[in-house]
Amino acid sequence: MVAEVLVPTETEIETEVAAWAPVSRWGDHAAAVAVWAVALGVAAMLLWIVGDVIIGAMGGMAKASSDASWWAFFTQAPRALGVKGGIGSVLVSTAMILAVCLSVALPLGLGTAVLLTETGATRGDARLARAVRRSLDVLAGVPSIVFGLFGSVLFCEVMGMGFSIKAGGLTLACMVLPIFIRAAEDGLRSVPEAWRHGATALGLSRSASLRRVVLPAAIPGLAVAFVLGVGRALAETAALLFTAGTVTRMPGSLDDSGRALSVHIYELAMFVNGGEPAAYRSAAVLVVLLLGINLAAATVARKYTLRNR
Amino acid sequence: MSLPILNPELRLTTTPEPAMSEPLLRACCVTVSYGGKPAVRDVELEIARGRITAMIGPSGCGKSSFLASLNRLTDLIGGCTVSGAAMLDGRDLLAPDVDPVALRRRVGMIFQKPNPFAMSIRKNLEMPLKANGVRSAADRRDLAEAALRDVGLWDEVSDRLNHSALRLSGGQQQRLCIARAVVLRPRLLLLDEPCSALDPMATQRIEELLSELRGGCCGLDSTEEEPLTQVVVTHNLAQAKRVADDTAVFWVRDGCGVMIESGATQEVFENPREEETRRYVGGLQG
Ligand SMILES: Nc1ncnc2c1ncn2[C@@H]1O[C@H](COP(=O)(O)OP(=O)(O)OP(=O)(O)O)[C@@H](O)[C@H]1O
Ligand SMILES: [Mg+2]
Repeated sequence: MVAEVLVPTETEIETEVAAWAPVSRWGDHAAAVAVWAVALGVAAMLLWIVGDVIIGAMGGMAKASSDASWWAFFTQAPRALGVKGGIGSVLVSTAMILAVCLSVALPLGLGTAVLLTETGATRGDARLARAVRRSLDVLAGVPSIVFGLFGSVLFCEVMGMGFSIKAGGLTLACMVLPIFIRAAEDGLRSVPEAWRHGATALGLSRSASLRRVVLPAAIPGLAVAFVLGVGRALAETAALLFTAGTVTRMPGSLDDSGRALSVHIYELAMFVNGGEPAAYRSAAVLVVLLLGINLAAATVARKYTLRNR
Repeated sequence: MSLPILNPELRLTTTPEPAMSEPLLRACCVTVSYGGKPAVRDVELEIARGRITAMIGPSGCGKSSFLASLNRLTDLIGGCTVSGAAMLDGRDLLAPDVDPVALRRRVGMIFQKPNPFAMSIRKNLEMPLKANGVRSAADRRDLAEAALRDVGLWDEVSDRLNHSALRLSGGQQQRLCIARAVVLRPRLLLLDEPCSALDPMATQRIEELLSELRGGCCGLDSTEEEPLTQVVVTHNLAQAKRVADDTAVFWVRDGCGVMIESGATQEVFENPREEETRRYVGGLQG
């Protein structure tokens, strides 16, 4: 018996080779190019804005350095409608407004987020949770000028606070709350249910499991919520015009009126002749402040994530 | 590394005498419903003290639901209601006046997927102790070490106690979870398919551990070594045969889970009363 030797024919070899040939992926490539283009576009836009602000501020600095030291810009009060002097009192007002805003918004917001995700009340009654969520989403989309009008009626007039840092901070809190709550809720929701069950099964009460397991695990998400909230608060102008006011004097207490950094930039750019260099400088400070807060929160989040994974 | 194969004959010599005393837990007419629809109905079951009881049965027959009702984890599930009585130490643990947090300190639970917290190995053990009122840090440290020794994890992890527990292997994670449950000294440990996410070697390790724990373990107020009673849900019939002293079979009848028979494991596997059991455990051979 002669063993039959199977010699592949020419066409068989060709089909074999074709089967192993790389499949055309121009769709994948096109998608990759599009994604990269968008990503680069976004990055370029950020760089452009930051670069423009910084370069504008540098020009202003060079001119300002003749009449004041670099450091004095951060400590001196504005003079001549802000064209001269620094932004010392503005920074203090900004910090005070932010402090009022956060001291109300953080506990209230975290509490609401916990209520929405962790408690039986809203788990059992999904309708209540849904209603709260929907209202928050609507509120988050309301233009800030509306919050400003609302705040000026409620806090300044009805509650008699007048133009004050307190009224401005509280108005900002109202505006920041919906964003903060929804982001914090996402952070809490990203904590695996298995950890809640595990903590409960180990005899931890609801509050103990929240404090010892859920909240620590949610810190990266909560940091994101914090950045979103602070970012919105720091950047806000319209809501503060009618509530905290535009007075550039150094505030003595929370009942004084005070001008926030973003309001300062707005006033300089819109209403002051020759205010542009000072506006640029103030904008640079605001941008650096925002980037710094972003960086700090990202570091906290990463530290927690790294340590625990 | 040599892993001794568990020999059923050898194991039987260490098994406590059947029905030597009052059962630790007696379930009477326990029904678990979701949204008013019963998932498992009228379970009558006695869990013997210091022994391992296996719960077997096809998917969806309510084993997990019944198990979760025994430490009131069902309270966490919206729309889930439990009726009937489950007597532990003369108290009905399903009664509304029982504090579920206090109950869960006596009745621990291990889940199918290992769920160590995103903390260090040490903190995984010490945090529950702290939350359960162990004030002294030195005590917590000692108890944590004893617990790691109990589950045979000490030699494997003693040099990286401050590393994240999430970096352990699945089998190590599951043993850590058992350690952090038994260190609280529960009377009863419920295990819901504790090995189904693990490979055969890790599974064997856990099975050995369960057999060892039956003899008692170190933990909170360990004045005397009291044996640990365990209930294991498993889809692995060979595992039930290997580790369990008693076995309860669950089945779906008329669209609802029921417990159809229970007794000594050998009896249930070799001499089943019910036709369904015969067919189910018959799958073991062919
Ligand atoms: N959270 C829930 N909501 C509604 N129904 C549920 C819920 N959990 C379980 N059930 C239902 O209860 C029944 C029993 O489920 P259970 O998980 O207790 O079964 P099981 O025996 O553990 O199954 P398996 O072996 O697959 O784990 C199933 O019909 C299931 O659909
Ligand atoms: Mg199950």
